[in-house]
Amino acid sequence: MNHLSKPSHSNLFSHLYIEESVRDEMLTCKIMQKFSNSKIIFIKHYKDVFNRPNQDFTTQSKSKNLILARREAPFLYEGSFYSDGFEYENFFYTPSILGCLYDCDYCYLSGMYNSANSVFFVNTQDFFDAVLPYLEKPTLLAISYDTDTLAIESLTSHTQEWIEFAQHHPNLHLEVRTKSANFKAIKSLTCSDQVTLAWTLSPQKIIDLYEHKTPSLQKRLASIKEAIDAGWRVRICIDPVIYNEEFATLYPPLIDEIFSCIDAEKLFQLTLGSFRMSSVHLKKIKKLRRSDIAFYPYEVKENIVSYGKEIEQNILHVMTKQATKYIEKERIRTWQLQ
Amino acid sequence: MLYITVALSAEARPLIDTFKLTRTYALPYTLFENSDIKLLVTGVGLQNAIMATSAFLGHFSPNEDDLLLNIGICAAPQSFEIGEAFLVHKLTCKVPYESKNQVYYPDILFEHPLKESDLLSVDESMDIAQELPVDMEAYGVYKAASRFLNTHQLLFFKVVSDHFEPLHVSKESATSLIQNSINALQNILHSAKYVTKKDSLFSQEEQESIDAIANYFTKSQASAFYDACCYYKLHHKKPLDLKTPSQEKLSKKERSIQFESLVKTLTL
Repeated sequence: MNHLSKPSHSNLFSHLYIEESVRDEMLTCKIMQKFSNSKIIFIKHYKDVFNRPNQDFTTQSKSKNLILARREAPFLYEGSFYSDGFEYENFFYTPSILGCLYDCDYCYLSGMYNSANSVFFVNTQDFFDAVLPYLEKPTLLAISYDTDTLAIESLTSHTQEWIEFAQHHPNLHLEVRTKSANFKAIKSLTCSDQVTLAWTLSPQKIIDLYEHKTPSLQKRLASIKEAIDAGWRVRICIDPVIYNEEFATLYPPLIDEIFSCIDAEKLFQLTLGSFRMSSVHLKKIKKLRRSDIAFYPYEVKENIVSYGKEIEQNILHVMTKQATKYIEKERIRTWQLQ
Repeated sequence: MLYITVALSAEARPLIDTFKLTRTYALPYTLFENSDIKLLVTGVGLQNAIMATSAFLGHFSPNEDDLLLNIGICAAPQSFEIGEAFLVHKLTCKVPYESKNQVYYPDILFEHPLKESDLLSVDESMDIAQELPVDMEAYGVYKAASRFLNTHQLLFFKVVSDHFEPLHVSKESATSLIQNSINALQNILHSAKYVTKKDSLFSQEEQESIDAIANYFTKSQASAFYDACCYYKLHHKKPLDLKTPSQEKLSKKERSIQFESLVKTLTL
């Protein structure tokens, strides 16, 4: 038999689901033009597709689709307990994109959402308006929280718009967390101390095993170097550390590798943290049965799973010891549950 | 397993011949099967489609790597050619007893050369031109089948029989239209089956060993032990070689020691 159809979609976003209310928005038209070969399906509300029951996250991950929609309030959420708020009085994250192009086995998104698809809310101005009332005080806003905005930047220009918005509001500080190697997407912007580009790094073996579809360590490091050289404030996050029998041979050498190509003096901060997650999300991730990370015998304390005190302290001790060969302790931040 | 629903015996005929299906009598519906496929004739209309599909899937209890195919003829606007086959990515209905707001979206997660379209399901054949292709069962099939299967396991393959001229459609033409689409259908099924295919984490032998050992433990210990087995298989990607405890009955203390030792070994 001559099989004309291919087993799975080789192109990103084979289907675009578009809320009828945003079909004429400029950003929608731009994205439709960019994905002119995609099938367009008009929908009433993004939740009709994104929150459908009986979606298979693992199968959808191999063929992700995009939903374009209009977000209704709330436009901001309080920063999560699982994240570092860097002592800002106001710490929020913005859910302007839901879902991620990358597919990391340890990501809480697969335990939080029914769908592996992404939702992009095109009404960016509403998100800006929601931040304004808080800007009398220094405010930290994580714009890459339930997604990786830089990974999808060429499509959305989302990071660029937020950075340009922040330039008019000195009390607004942005954290752009990413695993991408896509600094070039914002390279042309004027760098600002109000913006921290926070790169998550892992040893290449961990990337190969668990961080599917993400750029290699080498590519991420090259992107970081470019950003630092251009004067941007860069935080490197070795977080989460995935613990297994190879921890000692994988992670300390990662620190050596980082500082063999990054000038430690120019690095803003280094964050270290071991894997932790809400037990509710982990329970859902177990059902996907696709990664050993979900099945490690974690300790559970107040609905948070973690490696337990002994392993967690060992991770931080080993990593901090190695990092302080290059960077003073004051610029190292650690996330510890115990 | 591939589950197929069709409304008419005339639509079933080419499938019965192609897949060499034989008549069976497990349900009070016209049912055909072979070792890989079961085909049910639901009868015409949404209510028949809902009832028959519920009975069909309720009786056979499909698995997560099975597929349900609803195939049949439909009316369509002039932008579709007579005989053109297409896949459905959005299902709506227009009948007084169904909520107007409920819309279904089957996931098509494979590449294919066919057109895709929305489909409207109605309760009577249509002789007034509509903007969308129209059938009389697909919405009902989805509604019932979505209780049993995931969104990517539901496949709606339609062949255009007329441009809203139902009197021009005969049993013979229905058979012929489906017959002419068999090659396209087989290509689609090949890809859809590839996407739904799931490999079991454990072999049958491993699963039996896990179940046997889990019987020695409390419910929570058994659950943690199962997780440890999953960790071992996913982490080491090696066969699981488990030894069942030699004693038939273990004391509470022996059980705890055995449990802790097993979990530690599996997750080291």
